[in-house]
Parts: sequence; C-alpha cells; structure tokens
Amino acid sequence: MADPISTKPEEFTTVIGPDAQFKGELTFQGAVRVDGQFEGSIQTTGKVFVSKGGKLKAEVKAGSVALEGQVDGNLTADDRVELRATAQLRGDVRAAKLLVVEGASFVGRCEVGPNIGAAAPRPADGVARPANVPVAVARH
Amino acid sequence: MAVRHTLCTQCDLTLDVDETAKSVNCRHCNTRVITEAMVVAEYVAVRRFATANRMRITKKGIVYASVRADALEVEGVLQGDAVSLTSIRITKTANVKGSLRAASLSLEPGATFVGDVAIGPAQVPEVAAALDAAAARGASR
Repeated sequence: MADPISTKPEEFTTVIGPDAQFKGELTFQGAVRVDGQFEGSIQTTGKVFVSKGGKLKAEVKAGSVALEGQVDGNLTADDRVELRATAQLRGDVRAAKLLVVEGASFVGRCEVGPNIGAAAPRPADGVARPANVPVAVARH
Repeated sequence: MAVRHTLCTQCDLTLDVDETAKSVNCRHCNTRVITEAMVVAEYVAVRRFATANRMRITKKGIVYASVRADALEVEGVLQGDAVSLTSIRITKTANVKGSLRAASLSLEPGATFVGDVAIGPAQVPEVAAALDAAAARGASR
C-alpha cells in the first residue's frame, strides 16, 4: 500500500483555523489545512486537508486530498483522495487513487483509476470511456 | 455444529446457518439462499448473484451481475451493482463499473472503479435492523 498523505502541521502554508469561516474562491500553490468552515471552491496543485472539526462545502481541485472532517462537494485530485475514519463525504470523487478507511462515510459518484484524475479529459456525458472501447453507432 | 448468523439475501431477515451448509431455505420468505463462500474464476453473466457469505472474484473472474455478499473482494472484472454487508475490497488488478453499497470500502492503488458509492455503517441499514430484531427477540425471552 502506498504511503498515506502526510498531514504534519508544518507542511501547511495556509490554515483556516477552527474558529474561522471562509466564503469564496481559494486558488494557490501549496497545501491548505481546513480546521474551520469553508464554503466556495479550492484550486491547488498541492494538498488539501480537512481536519476532524473542519467543514467544507466546496468544489475542490487539488493534487491530493485528505479528509477527517465533513465535506459537501465534489473532489478532483491528480493523485489520491483519502477518507479517514472520521470523514464524511457527500459528493463525487475523481482521482487516480482512493483510500476509504473503515468508519468513513461516502455517498456520491466515484471515478478512480490510473488513467483518471484531474489531468485526464472528462467526456461530455460525464462518464469516462476507456480509449480502446469502440463507440457504438446506431444504424437506421 | 458451528452456527453462523447471517441475513437472507432476499428478505434481509436473520438466518442461523451451519458453517458448512452450502445453501438453506429461508424460514421467513422460503427462498433458497446460498450460504457457501464463493470464489469466482470464470465468466458469469446473470441478473443477480448472491451469497450469504464471502465472495471473491479472482483475476480471471468476469462478472456481469448485481452482486450481493457478506464481504466482497474483487480482483477481476465486475460490472453491476454490488452490496456487501461488511466490506468491499477492490484490488489493484480490478476493474469495477457499477454502484457500490457497503459498510467500508478498500480500493488499492491501481484499481479502476467508475460508479456511485454509498459507504459507511449507516448505508447498510439491514444489518442494524437485524441486530435490533435479534436484541428484541432476546429481551422478550
């Protein structure tokens, strides 16, 4: 099993504290840790960590995402998404790797695989189609 | 005789079955319930594929069906909805398409999965209902 996403406090350049509420769009390069409440969207090439008390209502596009708190929204990660034991996720996940630890709750749609991630193009119908599968053509 | 507690795959009511039994008749709905552990290593295309025990779809296994098991492990191909009362484990060689419902999910890096998920102890209410019913029966005795 690959190493879990490191969530050491010193690795996070941006921290939304436990008593903070943030509404809006967050675009940056680096890692963010959400201990409080966040509503909006997050876009980063680094990692996003929602700690146990953290609440996120957002569309997240990141390198990797680790959850211990509550999230309502869609997650897209280039690398991996980790749902730890206390995590509660309502939303869709699109990532190369997904880890769901026992006790975590996850309701939503999921697209996971080596060729799936933020970098992979998303088809117009929202369903990833493998490249080697021919598209059915209706004959009249 | 070792007895195992499980749920009927049809009506979700409790069954006490012998560990070695391959199938039993449900005493609630009178349906034939498969109770043996399954290892699937071939092509299977049916509407419903269920066991009141563990199910493992090996690397060579290709299953097109709605699957239901006490615990499910997929190493091969599964296309269809899957329900597990405990856990679903999708290994790195697996390719799964369909909706999953279970108490816990383990997806190894390298696995491919596309579909809806409902994961968590609250997503398997039949287990809690069976436990409640068993507790109520115990209290009334």
